[in-house]
Amino acid sequence: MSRSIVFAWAAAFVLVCFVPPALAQKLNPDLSVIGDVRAQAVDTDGESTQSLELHEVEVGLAGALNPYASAAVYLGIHGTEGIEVEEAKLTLDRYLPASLALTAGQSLLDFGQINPRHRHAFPWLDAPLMHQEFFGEDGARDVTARLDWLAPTTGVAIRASAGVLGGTSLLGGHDHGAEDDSGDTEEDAPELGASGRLELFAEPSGSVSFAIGGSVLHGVYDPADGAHATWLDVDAKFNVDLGPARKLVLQVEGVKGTLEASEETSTQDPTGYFAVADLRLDRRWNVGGWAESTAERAEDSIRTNRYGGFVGLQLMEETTVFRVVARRTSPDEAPATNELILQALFSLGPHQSHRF
Amino acid sequence: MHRILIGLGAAFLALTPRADAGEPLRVVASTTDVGAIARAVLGDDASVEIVARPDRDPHALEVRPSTMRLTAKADFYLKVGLSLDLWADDIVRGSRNRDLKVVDCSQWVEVLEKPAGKVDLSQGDVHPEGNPHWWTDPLNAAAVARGLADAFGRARPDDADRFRTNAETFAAEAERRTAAWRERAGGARFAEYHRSWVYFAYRFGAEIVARVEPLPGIPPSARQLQETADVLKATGVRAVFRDPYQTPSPVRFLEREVGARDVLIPTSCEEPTPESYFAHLERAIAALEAR
Repeated sequence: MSRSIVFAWAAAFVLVCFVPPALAQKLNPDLSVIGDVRAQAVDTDGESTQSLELHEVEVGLAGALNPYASAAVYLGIHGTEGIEVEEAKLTLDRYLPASLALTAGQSLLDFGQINPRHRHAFPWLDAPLMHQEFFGEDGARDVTARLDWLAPTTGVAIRASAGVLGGTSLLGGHDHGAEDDSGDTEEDAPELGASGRLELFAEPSGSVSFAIGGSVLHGVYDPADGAHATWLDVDAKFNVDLGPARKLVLQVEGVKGTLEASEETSTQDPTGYFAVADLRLDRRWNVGGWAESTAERAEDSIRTNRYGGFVGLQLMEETTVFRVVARRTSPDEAPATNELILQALFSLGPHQSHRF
Repeated sequence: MHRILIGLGAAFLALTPRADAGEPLRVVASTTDVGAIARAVLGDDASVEIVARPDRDPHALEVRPSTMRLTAKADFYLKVGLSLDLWADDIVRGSRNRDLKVVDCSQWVEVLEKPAGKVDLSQGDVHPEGNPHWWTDPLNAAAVARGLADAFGRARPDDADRFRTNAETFAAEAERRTAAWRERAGGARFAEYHRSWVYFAYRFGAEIVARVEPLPGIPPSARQLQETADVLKATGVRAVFRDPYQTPSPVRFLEREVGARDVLIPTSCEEPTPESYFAHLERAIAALEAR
């Protein structure tokens, strides 16, 4: 945590000090602050608890560096647990030839369609259980250098990416507030990994569009033993346009891991899936439901299942959003938990574009 | 290994299409109206593609990979500007197109409703540089046509004269129609849902007596809606211009309360052609004349 704080303050110092005052107003990056406040009622095996918390504050700085490159820094503040660099990345958007782009820095990995999105954009609130279980509370995030290629096709859009990773995402299990002990010794320092993704987008009619894709992450998950992990993802998203302000989004993702045996564990093949339907009723309201399941990373025969429903209200686009989420989580080896969560989300700053 | 890498690099380069100097310009425009002006300047043989459908909210568009792919092959990207199509920047960046020329068409228009003093979202979804719906004034469209003719002419010097002639033809038609429409719409009064028709009213001497939204992008409360109904009743105005993506229920209330007329008309024209652009404004003028 302390390293994250130092890095965050260093980034802020650089931003403040190296912008000439005369240019400060015009050339400031876009600044956004998103707050996530939650009221929660939880029932586990007849025992009820209630809580009210500032779940997260995200501070984002993003902008163009020059005509060919952009950069973005997102800092996450999780309750009293400290500041975390969620993303800090440089992208050469329009510099390389042949429709290539290069992203370098810490970022949410290009693994599936859900993982690269920021958590406050999820109407179901949290990262899918499988991402939390396999990679940590916020999903797969790592320092990466990645090349993206947009194929020169007509009719369908094909995107492919390939990159190298710092390797911390493969160690798994990073939670907010947990001490980051990766790399404390030479033995358990993360080793470089690799990522890849292929995605196809098509619009068969004016009202239906879909994207299907597959991703892979590979590298060492147990540096002390040199044990490797390979994670495969397949995903699909369908967007059905039901009218000028109404649409249905159906999305499904599945992840399968193969973890080599190490001194501590036998070979594990954990799997997980996530499926969601989100119906936007008009410019303000959306409703939906989801189901998901994941095996434990270290013991693939033990699973946790979850299903739930959500209702969202946007007062004015994304500036003020209220969501009510009801969900039931059933682990194999623990009593089921029922939760009712009211989320109030506020967003200061310019609106980001909506990606498919 | 080196040979493989060099081979892959060569394949990427070979697969990336580039426009030749003799080919018609390829243009991607944020909206149909900007596309219509571009087509008027370029002529029928040009490729003009549109990002936002006219019946969808241009303030909040979903950026699709197919749009980036389209823009990857374009020579020009034409923005509406004035912070209406902020998503255009994402499309431009996502296109990876190093040679793409990005043109903000609002640079040539007479901007209305530029906010003075501090601007923030307590004033609703306000645009800091001014009202962005400039294309509902045909004289703005004429100015943009002339500006685009220069921009396109620099990219295709051999066609510069043709572009200028086309722009002047379009501008002359816009001016001729503006004079005629002003005769028909001058003094007319109407209501609108959003601040979409401000330029239209200004150019043709019409008056917007009420708005459904109390502030841009903010839905009305019951009390505010009743106040709008009172204004319509007092002024005798019945026509309420509404975009298809805007919630109909407030206008249904006005229909019941004061016999308001729901004029369902997108702010943008249907097709990116000059004919569609003029037909769209003709439809708006006719809606004002209807009783």
